[in-house]
Amino acid sequence: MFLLTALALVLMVADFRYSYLDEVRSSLGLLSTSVYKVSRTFLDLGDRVDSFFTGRETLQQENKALKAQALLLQYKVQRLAALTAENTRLRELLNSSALLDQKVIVAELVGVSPDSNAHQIILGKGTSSGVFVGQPVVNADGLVGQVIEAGQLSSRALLITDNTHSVPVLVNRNGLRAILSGTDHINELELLYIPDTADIEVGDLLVTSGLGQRFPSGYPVAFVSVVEHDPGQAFARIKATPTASLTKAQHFLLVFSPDRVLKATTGFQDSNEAEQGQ
Amino acid sequence: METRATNLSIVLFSLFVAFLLATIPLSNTFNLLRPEWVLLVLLYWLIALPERIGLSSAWVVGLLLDLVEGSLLGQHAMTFVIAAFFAVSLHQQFRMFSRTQQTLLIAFAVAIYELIDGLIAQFSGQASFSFSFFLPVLFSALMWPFIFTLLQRVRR
Repeated sequence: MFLLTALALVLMVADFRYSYLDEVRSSLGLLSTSVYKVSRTFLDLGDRVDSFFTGRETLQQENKALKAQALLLQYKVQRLAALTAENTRLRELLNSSALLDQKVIVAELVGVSPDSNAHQIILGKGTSSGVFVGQPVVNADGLVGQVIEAGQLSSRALLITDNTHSVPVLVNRNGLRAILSGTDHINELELLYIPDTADIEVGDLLVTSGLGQRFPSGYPVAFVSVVEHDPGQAFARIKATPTASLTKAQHFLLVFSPDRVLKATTGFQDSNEAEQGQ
Repeated sequence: METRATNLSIVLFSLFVAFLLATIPLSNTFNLLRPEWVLLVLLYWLIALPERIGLSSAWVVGLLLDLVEGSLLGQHAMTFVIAAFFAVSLHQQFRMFSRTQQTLLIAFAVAIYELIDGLIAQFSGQASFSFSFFLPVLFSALMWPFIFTLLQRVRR
């Protein structure tokens, strides 16, 4: 018993302090993913039976609604093309580099970590699709989290609401920079070390600032929900709610930022010089 | 020889089902109450087949759960071994106990597990310690009589 306990302790320390075991984890990721996949199939059975008996009427209605939505989205995209072109021209006038389009891949949700303290999800895309550790995960409404473990065919992502996760953000209204951290609670985030006098109001949109060089800038992250000033405390207590519905979404986008591709192709030396040149 | 082989396949199958139950997505409230299925099934086999399922099996099952849950490698391995040690050292007396006494003992073993698990989570910065750690103890204890009768039937 003592031997086994000691062995487990050594493993834990090795896993916590060093990254030797990451390889083991990701190579055995397939095994754990298949468990999640099987347990999910049972839940999906109910949905499948349900969709089998969906009436023609409902489907026609849904089709109509989707067509209307597609029309609206296409209209918005048309304007976007013109705006992007205009933006590029203006940036050329200002002599700053053009913003590159970001490549994304869609990944479906495979499982949710059963540990209520770890806000992690398992996604159905892995290194074979180019997923890497530290890759940002977003969905239609905003930032979701980042990849912390990439296996061959699946990956594990840490949500922004996990208490070990933090994102550099800025207030969209006035550009105030801050660190947005997860808490123990789902759907609750906390802005750290904001002085009492800072200009932050309830309802402010927080977007990624891109300062950590991990998340691309400009993605919506959260809305400020609570601002409390306590004279006894050094900093204001500010809570925020994520814009993305973290507990309901089924599909997620994995973002490949263009500068990462650049760094990967030109190497560390070049990117260092580029930074100095700025 | 044949009964041994079937016994082992039943053990593996029941543990597999326990893993499935442990990973089925639940809403947040229910997730807090989720019984420790894998530990309960493991404890049953430790008590029922002590000559086949021992501490090393508990260690391996714990490590598998670490891989699946994405916790620190060795976290569940260690806590399972300690809870299993407790169950194994009492397995002779366990058979003489009434159902209520058995349930209380199981609750105690799960409580030990939750306590150590919570402390490790605290030290590695995964979570802050709170008394909601002990909610699964209650629900695991409530599930024990069902698991016990079910597995007893399956075994025969």
